[in-house]
Amino acid sequence: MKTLKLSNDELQGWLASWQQKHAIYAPQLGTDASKPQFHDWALLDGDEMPQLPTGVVKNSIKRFYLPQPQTMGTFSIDKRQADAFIIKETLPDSAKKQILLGARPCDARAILLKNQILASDPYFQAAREKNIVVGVTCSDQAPTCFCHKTGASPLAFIGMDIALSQTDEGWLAEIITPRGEELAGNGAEASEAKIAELKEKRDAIKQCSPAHGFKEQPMQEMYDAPLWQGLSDRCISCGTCTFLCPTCTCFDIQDETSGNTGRRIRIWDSCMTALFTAHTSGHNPRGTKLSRVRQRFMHKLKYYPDDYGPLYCVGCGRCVRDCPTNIDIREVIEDLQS
Amino acid sequence: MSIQSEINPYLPYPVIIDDIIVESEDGNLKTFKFVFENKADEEKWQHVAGQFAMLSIAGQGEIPIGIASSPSEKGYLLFTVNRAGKVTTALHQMKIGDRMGIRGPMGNGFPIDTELKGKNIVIISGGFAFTTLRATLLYMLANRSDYGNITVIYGSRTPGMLLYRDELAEWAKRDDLDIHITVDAEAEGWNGLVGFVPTIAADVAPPADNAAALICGPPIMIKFTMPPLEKIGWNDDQVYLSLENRMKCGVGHCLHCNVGPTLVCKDGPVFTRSQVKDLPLEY
Repeated sequence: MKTLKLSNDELQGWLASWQQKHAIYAPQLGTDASKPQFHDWALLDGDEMPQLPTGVVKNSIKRFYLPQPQTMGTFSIDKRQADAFIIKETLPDSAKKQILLGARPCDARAILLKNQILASDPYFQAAREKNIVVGVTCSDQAPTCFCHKTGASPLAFIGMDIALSQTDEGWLAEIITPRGEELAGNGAEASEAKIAELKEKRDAIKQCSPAHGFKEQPMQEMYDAPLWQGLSDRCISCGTCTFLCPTCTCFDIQDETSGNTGRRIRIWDSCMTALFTAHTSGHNPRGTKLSRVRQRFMHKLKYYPDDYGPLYCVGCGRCVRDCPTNIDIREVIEDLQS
Repeated sequence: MSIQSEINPYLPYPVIIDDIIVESEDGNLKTFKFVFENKADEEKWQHVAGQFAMLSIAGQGEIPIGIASSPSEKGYLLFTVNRAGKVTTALHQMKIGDRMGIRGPMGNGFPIDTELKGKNIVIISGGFAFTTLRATLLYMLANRSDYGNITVIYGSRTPGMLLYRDELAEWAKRDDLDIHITVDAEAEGWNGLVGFVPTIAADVAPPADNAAALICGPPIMIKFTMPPLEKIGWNDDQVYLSLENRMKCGVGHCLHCNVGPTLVCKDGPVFTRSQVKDLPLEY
């Protein structure tokens, strides 16, 4: 892996050259003063490095991998057409690359965790081809950040093509993948001392064991734990946690028609809603709020780790920050551990 | 620019409705016979009895339905569909010659070529859950020497609600098959058995030695069928059930159908009763 040392001007030079060829998305402060002001992902106009707030921005990068909506195919419902009712595939154009600039380590890692579930999903795979992740590691953590408790690190570069780390004099750019290599501009190699300094910082971050020992805990014991009742009493089933979560992948598939044409789309769905599991007969396997609240946490803390190893939570803290009833997954983890 | 992926599990094979059979007296159950539009798709299609597929109507949506035809029936696929929601209602309004799509086959199916081989088999079913068991039975009859005694216990509310009535009559004539058809209550013109499936099962269920039971039906039927079986020595590893849950993708991506750590679409829909007992009650 190559590590380059860049001044602010040099990084701006890279951005300017990327702008010529690619769309760049980066977190930016909303410009509409009549709306609540927060940082979120938007197309980058200028060639200046955007100012990133401490911690994560409103949304994760999942919208670039699971677009809202994803058009899966198009069709005609005009019986006179020879191809009526045949669904024609509409994959994202993976040749046309776009850059996700300023993705945090938690968000970049979430895409890799999702990939375990969506390895055979052609739309997600095309999106992975399309998106080049130029991440920015976190020198500081926000109060809601807890990636270091999920087996990750605020300074990690896993899931990124290029990882930028801020230093006193500018930036260290770690070129991680061949795609990153292709994208990277010129720059002086960083000194041994600078590289050692970054490594030292990384080593200093205490990492918890990735699955928190939940793998060893019997499923039924966690399932029957008393805490679900109190949590579900508070939950208002709004689904904010699932939509903001960078790892949540659940989707619904719907057909839309207009006149004689239509498209099959997939949209984000939430296990917090009763309809998620409702059978047409009226039977609902998760008809109670308790069962739905439990499902979300059990999937993240038990079912996924049992299948793939790590927790299905990257510690971004968005659900903690934006839950209207202050449900905190960090407390859930602690409660289940004790 | 359009790109074609090599394998896209979301693209249905185009099929044509070749025949529609109204199965039940209330008209709510119809069997649809589909033929593939493209020979290449037909050749690619390989299913196992007990698997399901997504029936796909562009503009309406998709539904997971058990495959009612046996792998030994070539050149077409059968699905028996209860009219219940949006897509099934649209399907019931379609006509012979109409085009739609099928995605699949999906799920594991019954272990018909492995664990079930050489065993005495009892098929127990109630109502319109008989569909994938029809596929299973036909497959076993087509490979009759691979299995021991075959017993079928099948019941419905009324004679007019029984599926595949012509075939039931044919099967009753066979001497390599022990078949018991029952209805819930006496009915005019009905000379067969009367009584609920569990009652009949208690009378005619074969011994548990070297045997397997495939049970599909309403939960209440399964619940009351188990005690008489257990009484004569059956255990949960010998009993195969098929679960259904709401699902959207059928290939393990959308995560709608999970029962605890298990996905009905990928890990199921067929489970042994012992496997089911280890799962949370979310089905």
